[in-house]
Amino acid sequence: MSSYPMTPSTPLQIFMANNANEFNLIFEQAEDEIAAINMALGASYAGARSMVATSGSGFALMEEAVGLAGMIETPVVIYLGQRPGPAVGLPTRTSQEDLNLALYSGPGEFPRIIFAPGKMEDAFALSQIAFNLADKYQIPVFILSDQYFADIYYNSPSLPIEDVENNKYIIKTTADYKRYLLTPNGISPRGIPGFGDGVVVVDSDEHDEEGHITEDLDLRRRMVEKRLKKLEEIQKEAISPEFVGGDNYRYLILGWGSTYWAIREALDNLEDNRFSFLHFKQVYPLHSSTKKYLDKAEKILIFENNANGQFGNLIKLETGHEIHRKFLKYNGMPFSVEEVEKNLINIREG
Amino acid sequence: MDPRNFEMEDVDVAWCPGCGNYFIIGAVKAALLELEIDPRELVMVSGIGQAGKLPHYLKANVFNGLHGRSLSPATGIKAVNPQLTVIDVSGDGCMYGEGGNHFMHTIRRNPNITNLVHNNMVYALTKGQASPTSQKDFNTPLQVEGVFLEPFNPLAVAIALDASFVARVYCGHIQQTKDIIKEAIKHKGYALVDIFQPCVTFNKVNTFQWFEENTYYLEDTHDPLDRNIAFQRATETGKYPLGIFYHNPRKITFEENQSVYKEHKIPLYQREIEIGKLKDLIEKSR
Repeated sequence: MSSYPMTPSTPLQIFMANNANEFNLIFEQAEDEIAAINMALGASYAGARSMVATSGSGFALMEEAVGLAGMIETPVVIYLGQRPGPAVGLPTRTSQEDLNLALYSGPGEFPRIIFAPGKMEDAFALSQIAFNLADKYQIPVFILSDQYFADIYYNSPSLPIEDVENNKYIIKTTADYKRYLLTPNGISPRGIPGFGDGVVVVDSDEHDEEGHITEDLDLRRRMVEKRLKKLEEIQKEAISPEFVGGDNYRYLILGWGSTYWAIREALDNLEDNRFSFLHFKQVYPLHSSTKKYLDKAEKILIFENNANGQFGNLIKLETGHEIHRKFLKYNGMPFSVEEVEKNLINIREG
Repeated sequence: MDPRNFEMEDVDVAWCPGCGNYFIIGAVKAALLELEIDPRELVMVSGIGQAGKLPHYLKANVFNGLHGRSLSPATGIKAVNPQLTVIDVSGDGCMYGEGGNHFMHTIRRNPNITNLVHNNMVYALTKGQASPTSQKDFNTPLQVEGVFLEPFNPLAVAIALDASFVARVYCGHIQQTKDIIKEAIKHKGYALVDIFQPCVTFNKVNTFQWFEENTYYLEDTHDPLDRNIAFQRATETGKYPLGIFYHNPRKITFEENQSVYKEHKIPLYQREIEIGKLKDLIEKSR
């Protein structure tokens, strides 16, 4: 892991640094976020699982290299702890303002995955899935957190450690190895330098199958399609949203990331089967079941810690469904249970 | 060893005829052959620019990344697999302009990598603007009144930061260039080789002839272990000295400082996670 300290991502950096010795990790505090992610990509290219941790403006500096990860098809996990922006914003407060930043970061077109855990157990599971999928699809994978989620503590049952699977997607190269071999599903077997008889060539320029710079425009088209093709497989593996409540709902409440418990508890308090809750821990790409839940709702509501309803807009873009009511909070504080409850009661009473 | 070990077949080279880069790639290949480096264990890292294309023209592992950022992946690669030979090939724009911050901090980190910097005092890929090392009064389509900024002095900066190996060569002298590149690769720690190189298309001032007339070699009596003298020689005005300015053999490398290599040097990709330890850590935190 290489990173540059920035609230609220610093606690993760401290945790990793403190456990580096015991767990065969290298943690490096880079001179800036640009170096941090480029170092991580170098390490990943050479076969080490790599991640960075940062927040909004720090991530803005990393954007160029998100494109590099997409182009050279090198895995990296990006932990993005959100806080209110723009620029320095409110450094020690919370927000969900950087979904669009993560979703559209980097020049050009390439696939990515964005997770947003709402529970500690989710965070544990999603982190290992993030590394596995980053390696499998050779893409950047985001874990969107925020100040509130990063700093909360609560009692939780034992974490599902027995489910941890550390899948390696690295092959031993042969003398004729091609890093960007064109395959039906877009995924080229990933070799690393020093392991096998081949050489591993990656290039931020458009490249041929071997990885060397090219101006062949037909090959360019095929390489774009190869990279984007991976999204089809990625979509099939998307994690389904968590549905809470009865099937005969009138109002479907949407949430993502750290708002999980506030909405969940409000719903439990209301004991009203007209409300059900759909929580997204994977916000991109969306699981195929999403539309089915939305189709059944008379009214769709959403709670988000931003001013534009970024996830609501994404839902509309991806499914065509209008969000009937957006509850948006962007003063830097998380939603309280009482607040969610009050808003739902108002909805119920028209 | 096959002398054509580093040769590539059917390469479409983008450099102009007569470019100084042909001398540099010749010297690099010769140095690698003499050191008997296996291309499979070699990683050439570069950014953007005419220098950044060099790794595509020889047989090796290649990480051709972003403009100015090459030292960061080079550091990452070496850190997770110290068994690899890592050579960063950059130009004056990449290294001293766009990547200036990484240049400084990589020197501080001291990874065991070689940093070759093609220094032609001009931006050639973008067709002739000033580079950080362009000399004063150099006219370009963008610096229409001539350059008035102080030229960046990479050797002085590197020596000031106690870089563990600092040298300058002129690529027209292919034998000396090869010999010093060899020393840089053999050196344990960060090694900077600033390579004077004429750009035959966009720099009509600093030509082959100009470099011949405006360079000379450090005397045999020069002591590269003396940092103050090295700094003095790096900052002297007039003709430019060539050779190994400074060498600090006592510095510990970035990799040696990593606790993961205290017991053994196995690359990280060959290591497994220990679930038991992870379980203990989680239980301890509850």
